[in-house]
Amino acid sequence: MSLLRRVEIPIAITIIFALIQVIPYFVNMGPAVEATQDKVVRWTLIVSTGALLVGLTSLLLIHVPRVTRRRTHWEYSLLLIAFMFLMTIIGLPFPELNLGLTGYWFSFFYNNVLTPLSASLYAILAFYITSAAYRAFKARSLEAALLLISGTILVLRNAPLGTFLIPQIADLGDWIFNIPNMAVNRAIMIGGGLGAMVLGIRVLLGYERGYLRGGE
Amino acid sequence: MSVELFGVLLGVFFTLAVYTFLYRENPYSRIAEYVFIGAATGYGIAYDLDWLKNQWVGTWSKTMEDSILFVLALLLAVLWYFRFSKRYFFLYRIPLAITVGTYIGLALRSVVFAQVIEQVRSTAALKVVGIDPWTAFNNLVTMIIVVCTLAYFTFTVRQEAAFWKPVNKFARYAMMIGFGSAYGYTVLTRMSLFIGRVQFLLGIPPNPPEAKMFFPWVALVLLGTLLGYDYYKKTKK
Amino acid sequence: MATAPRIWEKLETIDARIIYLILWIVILWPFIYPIGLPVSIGSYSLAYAKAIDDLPAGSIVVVSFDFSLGGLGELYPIAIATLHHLFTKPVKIVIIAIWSDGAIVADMVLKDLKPDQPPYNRKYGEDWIFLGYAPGGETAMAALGKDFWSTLPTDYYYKKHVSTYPIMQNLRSANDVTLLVSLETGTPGADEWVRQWYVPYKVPMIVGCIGVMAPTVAPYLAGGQVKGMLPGLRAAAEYELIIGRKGLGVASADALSTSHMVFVIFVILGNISYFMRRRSK
Repeated sequence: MSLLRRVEIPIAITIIFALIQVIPYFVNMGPAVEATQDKVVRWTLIVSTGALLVGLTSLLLIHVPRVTRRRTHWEYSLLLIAFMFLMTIIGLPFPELNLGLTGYWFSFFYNNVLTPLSASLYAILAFYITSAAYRAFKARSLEAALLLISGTILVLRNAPLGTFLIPQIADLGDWIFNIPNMAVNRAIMIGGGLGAMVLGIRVLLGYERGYLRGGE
Repeated sequence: MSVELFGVLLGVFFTLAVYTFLYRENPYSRIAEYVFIGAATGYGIAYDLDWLKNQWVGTWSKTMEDSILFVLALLLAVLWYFRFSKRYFFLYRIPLAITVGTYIGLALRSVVFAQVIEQVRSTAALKVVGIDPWTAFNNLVTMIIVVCTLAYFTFTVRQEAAFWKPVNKFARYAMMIGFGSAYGYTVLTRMSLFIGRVQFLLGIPPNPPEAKMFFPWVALVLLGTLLGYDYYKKTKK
Repeated sequence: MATAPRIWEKLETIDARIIYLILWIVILWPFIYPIGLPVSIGSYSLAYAKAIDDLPAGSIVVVSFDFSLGGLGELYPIAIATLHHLFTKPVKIVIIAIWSDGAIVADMVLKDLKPDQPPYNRKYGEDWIFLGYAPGGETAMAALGKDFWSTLPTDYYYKKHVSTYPIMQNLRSANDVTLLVSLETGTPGADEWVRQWYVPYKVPMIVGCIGVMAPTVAPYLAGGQVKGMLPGLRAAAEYELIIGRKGLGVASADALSTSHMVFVIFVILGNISYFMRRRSK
């Protein structure tokens, strides 16, 4: 058991699984190896579906004690647990019992509960961004002024009224998007790519262990 | 009231319940928040189970070897659960290592081409002579911004020499102008998402037209109860 | 004169709920009293439409719904218009989802469009198919690129093995795909598709995305990895005008104008009050 506890084991697993994807990609090792490589990817997908267990368990660990101990807002926690199980049960893949993703009740709940909630929660940021812009988007320095001017041009460019009143704003907005924005994002992309490569190599060499942290 | 109509009413209620948070945190917004987390998690689990079943039926149940591999993958998937055990945490690391390893391998083999080589090549291929002056100017500006921004984010070299100062200053200014684009598009997204909800509340096709009928009444009830309660509490003081 | 700075101070610390109320009003208003402002068409929207128009008959197009329900406001009009455009062309359409929410939206769009019925009359399993959700993000993209049949072995609606459908006979890997359409809200999205489908298989790609994503897609557009892009609701309106099917995008144009203009007014007011207060100090 103590051998299994050693951090070198998951590091070795990570390296092996990474190399399975990397080596046959650069070195032609024949169709059999390629088929295995492909199978490993699909097999990993099955393993990774269990990650949802972490989310589920974490939610239950927070909300079940809240309900059993009648803590503040326990009624809402009960509602959360109820909806979690409700969606899981009506979504179970048994079409013969009218359950599953294409079943009537699953469609009913995702159309009328999940969709309005999800879309509305993300959309509420429209209010906060306006309020924040009013309070904080000030030309306090040259950099802030440049961001303010460029941002305002783009806001006007995206409004049909903006391009209607000032047709040149479309060209100006597109120039900002195509030249400075593209160039800056390209530099960030190159930098990010180099960073990702370095991270990958560190993982392959066993130097990067942050993701394995935790436990006793 | 038919089930379909009740569904639309639920949709209107949950949409407006979210927005009551703009007034202040209240039981309606809390209901919306908790129901969302519960329903979204349940939904995710249902989708994963459906996919697993399809994988079993469609691919892995065909041969004995594949069936064993499938069961082994499921057993490893269960090990994720040990994330919450201090004693058996080491078991959680196994599925994590498999997932991270495959992901890193997949990303590593192509990131260099997609994000580094292709982008460097596209920048280096920009012409500055033999083309119209405006395009030449834009290409030159692009190249200078890419180089200066990359230099700005180079932390492995001490940037103490005098020439770094104007380079970094230019990169900062260029980034601010560039980020204006991100800002403008962020505003577009936030407004658009809310416009989408308004279209639902007003029953604009293909949204269900009945929503328009429920919208004012549900809004009135939610706002009325919240304002009424606050007024009651104020007068009670 | 001493009252002047106080006005600016008050204006700066205005109750946020007043701003919220104004935003509600200016977005609701144009739906009740439409203005009908014209929408000018941008080059990326034209390129997006052209990529679909130029598809040879019989091409296989993969449409991937890579988004959460949160992006519905922007991506639903884009998804409807894109699939409408594709269903009017003599091409084969394979619909997938890399995000689990994407499967819901794809289902909603398909129920709205009803491709089996007029004016499209496209046969399920022969002209189009919906394969549902593939979990795993970038790993799933790589797996699909290698082997469609094993990664998504059954279809979404009937749970039948994909090998029983004629449309899937010519689709085994990304090498068989003529065009990839990614409708996306974030990661995994364009970056990952470029890594897993463009780099190894050179599959041309067009992107419909929420506005926030647009700046990060710009380098791929300039580099040619992405052929066209519809960034957000404004572009959705432009695209609807190009293909001649007015929908939620065009219907939103006025509300986009009023909300953006009010936003700009707030920014200007905020800056005026800031400078006036600073000057008085």
